[in-house]
Amino acid sequence: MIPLYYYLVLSAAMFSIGALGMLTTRNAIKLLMCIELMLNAANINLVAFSRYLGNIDGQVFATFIISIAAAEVAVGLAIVLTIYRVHGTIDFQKIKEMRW
Amino acid sequence: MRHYNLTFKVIVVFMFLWLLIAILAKAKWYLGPASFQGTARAVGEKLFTSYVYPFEVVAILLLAAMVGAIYMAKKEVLK
Repeated sequence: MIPLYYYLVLSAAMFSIGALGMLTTRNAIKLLMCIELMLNAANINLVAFSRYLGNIDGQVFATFIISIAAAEVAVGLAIVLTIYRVHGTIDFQKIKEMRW
Repeated sequence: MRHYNLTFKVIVVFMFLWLLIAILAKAKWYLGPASFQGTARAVGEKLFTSYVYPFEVVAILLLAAMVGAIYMAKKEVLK
């Protein structure tokens, strides 16, 4: 059995990659992908602890996180689409205001 | 909004990752008894017995998000 520490390090690395992507990218789609990466890092933690503690609740909670992430990405993509129609770009540095 | 350069961001994120790994290496995790069998069945049963109320709330949330996304993505909204 793989030690728990490896899963946690993998999760920390995934979270850091997502945070670095969020800090460096200027593309809205890439930003959504990085948010998804960070949510999935949390999922890995939950499932690993669920496995090693012998408690199934973590996997149920991971299922809920996946569904919340789906809702978040749907709304985020709709917002990006609207921003592209209004401003003609999805570069966050070029959008100076959020208007109707 | 200030713009920091790329090197600074990379250094900050790597320091954060190093901090996380250092904490994880030091911690003593309580590991429970042996693992369980048949996880998919157990997850399904748990999802529909003790977590059925959050399950319904998530269903309503997904419906609301879908309706909101479709409304925002319509072309008539901008007019």
